[in-house]
Amino acid sequence: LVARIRGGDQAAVAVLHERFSARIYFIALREMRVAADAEDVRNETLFRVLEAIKGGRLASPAALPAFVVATARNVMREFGRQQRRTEPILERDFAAPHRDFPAEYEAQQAVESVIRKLKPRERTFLRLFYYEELSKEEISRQLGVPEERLRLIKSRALKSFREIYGRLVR
Amino acid sequence: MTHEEIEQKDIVEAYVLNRLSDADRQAFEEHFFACDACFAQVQETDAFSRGIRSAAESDVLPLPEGSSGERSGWLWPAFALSIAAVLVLGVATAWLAIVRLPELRSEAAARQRSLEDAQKRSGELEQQLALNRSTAAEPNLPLVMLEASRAAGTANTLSIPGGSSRIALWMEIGSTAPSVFRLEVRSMDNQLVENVAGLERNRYGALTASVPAEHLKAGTYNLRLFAAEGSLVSAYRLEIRR
Repeated sequence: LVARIRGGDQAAVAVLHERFSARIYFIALREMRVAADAEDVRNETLFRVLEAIKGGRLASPAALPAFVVATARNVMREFGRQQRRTEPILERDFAAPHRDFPAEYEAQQAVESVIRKLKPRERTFLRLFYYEELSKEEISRQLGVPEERLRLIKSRALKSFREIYGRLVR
Repeated sequence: MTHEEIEQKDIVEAYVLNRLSDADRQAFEEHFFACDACFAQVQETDAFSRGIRSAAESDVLPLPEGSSGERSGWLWPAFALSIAAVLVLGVATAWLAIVRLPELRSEAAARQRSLEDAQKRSGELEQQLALNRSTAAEPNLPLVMLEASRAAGTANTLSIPGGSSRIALWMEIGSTAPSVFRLEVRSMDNQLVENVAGLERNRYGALTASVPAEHLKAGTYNLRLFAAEGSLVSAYRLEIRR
C-alpha cells in the first residue's frame, strides 16, 4: 500500500482512507467528544500521513498503523492546545457529554433490550461495572458472586448486545 | 501487544473503560489500527458501555437499594465520615475521662447535697401541707370576717362549735398596705394567746389566718395586725363564744 501510494496510485489512497478513517475518527471522538472535531482530526491526520508516505518519511511499511496512531495523537494534542487558547474557560473546563457517536440511539435500544432479559443481580453488576466503575473484585465482594460468574454474565450480555445492535445498525 | 494477550487480559474492555496505562493504550491502538476483529470488538464494547451508562443515567438501570457505587464519589466520603466520627468519639472519651469525669463527680456530690436539702425542705413543706389539708378538709370551719374595732366600735363575734380544731380569721386590708403581715391575738389582760407570722394576701387581696381553736377560750380578745417591719396596720376585737 505504501509503495502504491508513493507511486501515485489514487486507488491506494482510497484504500488508506478506508482502512484508517473509521479508526482515527473513533479514537478522536473518544478524546474530543464532538463529531466536528473528530472529523477535523481525521482529515488532518490522513492528510499528514499521506504527505509523509509521499515524502518518504515513513520508516517501514509495517510501521504504518503505529505511524497513523502517532500522527492522530499529535493532531489531537495540537487541536487541544488551539481550543484551550480560543475557547472560553467554561466550555473547556466542563467536558462535553458523550455525543455524536455513530448509532448512539441503536446502542441504547440494544442495551435496554439486553437489560430487560437480565436478572436483577445481573443488572446490578452491569451498572456497577460500567457506570459506577467498580472492579470485578469489588463487585464480587459486594454481590457475593464469584468473579468467574461475573465474567460469564458480562460476556453473555455483550454477546446478546452484539446480536441486537448488529441487527439494528445493519 | 499480541492477540492472545489482548484476550487474556481483557484489554478491549480495559481500553473502553479507560483503565489502561498510556503505554498500553498506545500499544493497543497500534494493534487495532491493523486488526479488524479487535477494532470491531472495541466499537461494540464501547457502544455497549455507552448504552449502559445512558441507561444508568436515565434510570432504566437504577442502582438497587443496599448496593454501593463509587462513581458518584459518595462511598469514600461516607467512609471518611466514619473515620472522623471514630476520631471525634475517641477524643471526646479521653476528654471525658481526664477532665470531665472529676468535674462531674464533684458536681454530682454537690447535687446530692442539694437534693438532700430539697428533700428535707420538701418534708417540712409536706408536713405543713398536711396541716393545711386537715384545716381545709375540716367541715364547717368557723370563719369570721373581721372589721377593724376602731371603725366599727363593736366586737366581732365567732361561735366555735364543739369539735372544731381551728378557726379562720379573714381580714380586709387596703391595697397600699405591705405584703407580709403578723397577727397578734391577746387576751383582754394583754396575754399573748397566738402569734401568726408571715401572713400574705390571698387571691382576693385579703389576709386569712388560721388559729388553733383550743387556744381561744370563750371571751373577748384584742387582735392586732402588724406589718413585717413592726408598724401597726389594723386592730380588731373578737368575741369567742363556745
